[in-house]
Amino acid sequence: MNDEEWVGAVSRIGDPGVRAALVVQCGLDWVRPHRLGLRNAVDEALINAQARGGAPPQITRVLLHNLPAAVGDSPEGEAMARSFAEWNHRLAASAALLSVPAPQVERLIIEGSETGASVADMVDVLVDGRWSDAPRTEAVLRIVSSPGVTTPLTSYDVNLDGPFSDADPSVHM
Amino acid sequence: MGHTRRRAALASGAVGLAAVAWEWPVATGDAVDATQFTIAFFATLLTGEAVIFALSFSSASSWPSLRAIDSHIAFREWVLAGWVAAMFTAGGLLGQSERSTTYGALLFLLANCFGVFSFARLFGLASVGGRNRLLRRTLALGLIELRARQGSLDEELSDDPVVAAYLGALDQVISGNDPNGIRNLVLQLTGMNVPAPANEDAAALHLEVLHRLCRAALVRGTDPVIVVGCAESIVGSLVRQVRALPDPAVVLGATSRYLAWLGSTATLMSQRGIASKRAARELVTLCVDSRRLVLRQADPDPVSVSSSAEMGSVFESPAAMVLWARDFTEFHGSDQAGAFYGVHQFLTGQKFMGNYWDGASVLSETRAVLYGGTDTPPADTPEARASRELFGSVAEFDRFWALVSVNALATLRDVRIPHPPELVRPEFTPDPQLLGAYLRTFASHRWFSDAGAAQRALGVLMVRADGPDSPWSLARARTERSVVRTPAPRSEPQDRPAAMVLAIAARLAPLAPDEPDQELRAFLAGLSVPALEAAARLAARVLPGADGTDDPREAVSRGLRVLQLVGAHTRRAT
Repeated sequence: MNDEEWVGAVSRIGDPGVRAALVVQCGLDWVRPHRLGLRNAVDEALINAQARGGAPPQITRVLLHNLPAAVGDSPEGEAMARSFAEWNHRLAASAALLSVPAPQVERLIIEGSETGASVADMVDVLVDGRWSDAPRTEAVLRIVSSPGVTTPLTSYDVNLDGPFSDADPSVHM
Repeated sequence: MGHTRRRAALASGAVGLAAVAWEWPVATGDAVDATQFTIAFFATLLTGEAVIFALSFSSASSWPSLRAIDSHIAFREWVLAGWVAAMFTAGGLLGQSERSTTYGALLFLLANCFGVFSFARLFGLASVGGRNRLLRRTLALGLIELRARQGSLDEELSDDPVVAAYLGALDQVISGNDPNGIRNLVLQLTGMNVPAPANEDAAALHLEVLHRLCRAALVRGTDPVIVVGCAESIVGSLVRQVRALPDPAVVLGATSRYLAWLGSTATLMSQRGIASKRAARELVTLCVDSRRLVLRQADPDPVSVSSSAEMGSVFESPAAMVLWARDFTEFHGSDQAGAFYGVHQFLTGQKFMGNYWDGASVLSETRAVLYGGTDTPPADTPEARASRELFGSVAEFDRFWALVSVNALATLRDVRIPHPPELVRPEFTPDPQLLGAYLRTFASHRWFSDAGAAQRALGVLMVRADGPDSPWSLARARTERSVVRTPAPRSEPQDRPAAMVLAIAARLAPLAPDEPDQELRAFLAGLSVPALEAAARLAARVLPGADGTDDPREAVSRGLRVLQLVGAHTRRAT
């Protein structure tokens, strides 16, 4: 899917009839700088969908839990790892802030020797009890609900108060 | 430079004298008699130098190092010349060669000339002024060499041997409580003449020395009057050379940020009894006055100038100005509300005609001028075009100043601790109206007006990562690239969720007493319980009036009422 299709598909999640949605973003391109604008657009669209009036849709996101080991060998590996860590932190922190139920983020664990995730990127919505791409969506949902394959993104370890030196700048004297 | 000339002179003299000795050799007896006089004088000079050396330089200190002294007084060349002369004389006597003996005697004459030169230079070094000149030059050369060598940024400034020796000498005079020593070392630092790009390392060294002196005044009990005098000359020297720096914004930003942090830290340490009240008072004065000096450099049209050279800002691009503004507003920095007049003028090319004490909003005006207001089109001055190119869309403009306000809110001083009366200065008071003015700069910059939009804005502010072309990332990259480091820690806004909540809440809070606050309350109701409690904790810490209530929503609302204090005098008349 190219950029416009992604933005179009994700903004459909905010439509009134949508009960649930599935967004899979396991490709390594999502932590590369050339896709940062699209990643931001997808995250913003999901925030808007969450905040719509009425019952918000039940969104399931599938991300990577860790980058494959081969990423560290490439020259841009450090930047990608930093971008990945920042993305996870931002998602966890934004989920901790608002009281609307946040998207359930499943982090797909991959072995270090694997080169990528086994699930392909996709977006799907549940309207009138039917997924628009039922076979693929149900396969992904089966994969992520098998035990040991994913861990959820939690927000309880996000430090809401900020660094300690904000309250006491003299610790660094 | 000097010693290559000296060596060239020595070598050419030796060659010339060799020719003379070859042409006109004298009898052995005459040569030996002449040598007796010259050797006696050689020994006298050597003894004299040894005495002066022992009296003036301590062996324990490596500042100045022996190599620096030697290259200044040409000691090695002189002794080398004497050695060669002695060899030739002795060799000529043993080998019965008149030419050799003559050459040896002539070389002794040359060595004595060199010896007198060396002696005169050493006398120059024995005085304080001469030593300061030598050390200034040594330090400048050391910094130039460091910049030429600079491989990775991991190498710290104090890894370089010359700089390490200087800092070691500084630590020694601080522990020894030697006021003249401190003053001399700071004179050597501020009198340096370092060309670009090594002057960035010089600026980093200025800040390092400033920090060591201020820490000594607070923690070690060094006489604060001396420390502040030296610190003022350091800041003055930094400000003087700022135009020659490759990146003045980073240096001025780091300096203003450090000074604000110093003021907060000095206040805190004085309240706790760790630092003496005298030291804290002097440092707070230093911090406020120096920040005003830095502001005058950044402001394109400052309040007062002493010469036409100070007109105009030292920054050359809006990216530099917003980087400095981001640093200037942290740590409850003094004069930050008035600084936005300069920011507005730099970014838009127009002067801001309102008055923030009356409640006028500078950032809203900047936004309207750059991106068009309700009835005004966007301005077309060259500065406005450059600013629009930097920010891109109006959403990026709003985001940048929202991130700046997150950092500003998170680092405000603690209002629960009573502010000591001796630390009250203009722009450094516990007056809630002053805090209200500082906050109102950001709080009056609004691009949403209801609770739902505010919640979406909060979500987007947290979840959106700054792209490499965004002004925030550009500023961060520039700061990380430079060698200037201060102990005041930097944190990114996404690590401060409570401050983000307060930053958005402040943009919903009523700005006048008769305005309704249900949007604010609806926004706070839409937050998760831990987030609301964290925001209430932050509000209790930094906003007056927020402490003392259990309901977190009430705490935040009460705290944000500080915004309504500004402009109260305009409303009383009506």
